[in-house]
Amino acid sequence: MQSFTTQQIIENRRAFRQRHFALLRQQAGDRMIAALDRLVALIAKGGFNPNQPRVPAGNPEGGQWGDGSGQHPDAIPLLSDFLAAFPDAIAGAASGLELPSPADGPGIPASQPRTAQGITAVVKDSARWLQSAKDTRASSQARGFFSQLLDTSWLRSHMPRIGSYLDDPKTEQELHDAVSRPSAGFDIHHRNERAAATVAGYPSSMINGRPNLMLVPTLRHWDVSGWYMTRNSEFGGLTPRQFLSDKDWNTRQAIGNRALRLYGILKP
Amino acid sequence: MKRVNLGKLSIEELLARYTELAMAREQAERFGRKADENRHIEAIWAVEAELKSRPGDRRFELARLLDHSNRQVQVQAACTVSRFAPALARPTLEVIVKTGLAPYSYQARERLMFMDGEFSLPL
Repeated sequence: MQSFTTQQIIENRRAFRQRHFALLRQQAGDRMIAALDRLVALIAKGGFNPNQPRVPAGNPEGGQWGDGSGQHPDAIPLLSDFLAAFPDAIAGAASGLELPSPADGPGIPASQPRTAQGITAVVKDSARWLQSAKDTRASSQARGFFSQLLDTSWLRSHMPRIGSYLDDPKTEQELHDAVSRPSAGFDIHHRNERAAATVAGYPSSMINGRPNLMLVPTLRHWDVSGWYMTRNSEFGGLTPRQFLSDKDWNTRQAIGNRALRLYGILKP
Repeated sequence: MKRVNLGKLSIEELLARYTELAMAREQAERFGRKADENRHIEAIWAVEAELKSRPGDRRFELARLLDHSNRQVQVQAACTVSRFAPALARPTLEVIVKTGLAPYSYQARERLMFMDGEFSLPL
């Protein structure tokens, strides 16, 4: 049997580690390039239309109702009076709305923000703006902004997350199937929230079972998690997580599916 | 944000506070400060309750914010107005959804889903 000196063993291990990390770097690079390719394809697919539809601008004074000072109590309209004035009110309210001007992309700081929260805010702003540009078919502006992103060195490692955010909604089956092919920019999501289901005493086999797992874009995953933690008037002022704390598995799943549709992850 | 006695504020001051709170909520959401966001939401609801308690139910004054330049203010007001004047708020909510700009589009879409029965809660 061949014997090695301590020095040789150390050298062999070092060489193995170097090969291993080089492989990991290569794979990470491949995943990022694939995400960028996907993003570029999406942008190109969007098609730029200089005559993109816009909500027509109208009378800027429309929809204004007095100064509200309350100095003339007799003049305060009742709710029913107000409702009777709907047609004008609707026209006035809608007049000030326009689709966003994609030329106003979010600002990208040249140097990396000091805090993780600051970095996340820029990444989220970028992905959200690109989604808006996609929805409003502002592809040429998206291309310009995309170049700006690529020129910002500190943002490059976040590009997979930004790219995956632009993924179209998927079917339930597609989201389940993708779990076996994890990639950069995506997270495994527990449709019935893992922590809440654990606290409620559901077994690990249900919580971590394949039917409860889906592969979703990371930033949208964060959005959905945030939604579960945000107080919501639709849920009687509770957070959805609080609302679901005493609900059964099927109810949690039904609400979980609706949240995924709401956040553009699951096809309607 | 400073605590204030809402009962002493004029309608204009209540609307200004509503606007300020909605913009503070927007920033808290951007930076993922969930506790701050929830605190701002509670404060927004307190302003809405104060408007409701004024003679004639003055929540309709929030409709003046439907064309505000800040989208969080717009969507916040539209969600509230939709509860007593759905036809008035719907165009604003629909345009915000069309923009696809999160988080406003999510909030508007959720309200519309509830209005249209696509998102209902078990009793």
